[in-house]
Amino acid sequence: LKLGVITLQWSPWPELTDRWRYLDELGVETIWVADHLGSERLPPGAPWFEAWSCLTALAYETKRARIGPLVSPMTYRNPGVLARQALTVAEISGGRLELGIGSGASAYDHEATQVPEWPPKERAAAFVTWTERLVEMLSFERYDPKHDIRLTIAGRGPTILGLAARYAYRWNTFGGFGVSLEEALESAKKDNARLDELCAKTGRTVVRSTSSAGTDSSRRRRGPPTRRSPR
Amino acid sequence: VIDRWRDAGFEEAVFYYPPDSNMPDGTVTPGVFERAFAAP
Repeated sequence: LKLGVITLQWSPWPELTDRWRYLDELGVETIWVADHLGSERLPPGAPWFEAWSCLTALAYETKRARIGPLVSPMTYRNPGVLARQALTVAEISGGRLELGIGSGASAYDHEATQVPEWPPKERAAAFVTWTERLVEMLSFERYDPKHDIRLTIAGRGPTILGLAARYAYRWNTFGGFGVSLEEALESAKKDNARLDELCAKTGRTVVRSTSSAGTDSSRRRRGPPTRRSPR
Repeated sequence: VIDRWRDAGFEEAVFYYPPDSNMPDGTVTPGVFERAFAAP
């Protein structure tokens, strides 16, 4: 099993950069940052650093590990801008970028950006369009792309798995909110089998990644969205 | 735990680091990160 690490950007800057260098030297395969604008669980007085700014620094602070956001959300990332950011960090890092994307479900991010939340079906449909645009922009001729950027698509459900089968190098899941390890594994196995079927149709292989392996009991269940304003 | 995810067909495990960051109290297996990296 390959091992990766996600470091939350809520530590003092010197501590965070020390951490990245330590993990790079330790030999972790991938170092990720969280692309959110903050967190409800942010300790009082703690900083929070913006993800793509961190990735630029991470590219300089590390030499070997692959780096990326886990994940950049549709919520506030314009695909044309995100593609340009990704191509920039890919170049700075010597081609070590992994581009993680997701449909976004953080109430904090929606509140901060004043982007209305989508009902689930609308969010899924919007994510298809957004992902297709991002893929197009990653090879946009006028951007003169120098790197083939690998996509990591995170999440669950038929739309996400369908997109992963079409476009992803890697699919990432946490197994589900508020569930035990047994339940997480069970649902992940089902999603894996479904992804196998979809990949058989697209003729692609997709790396399977979990961000749940460090936890062995139920995770906090997300509360209901604070606002539901269809676009 | 890692072996079980491997058996479920997963090829990569991503941990929070430090391991207890952003996780509810008591949900992180103590030492899981160090053990994972120490394993051959």
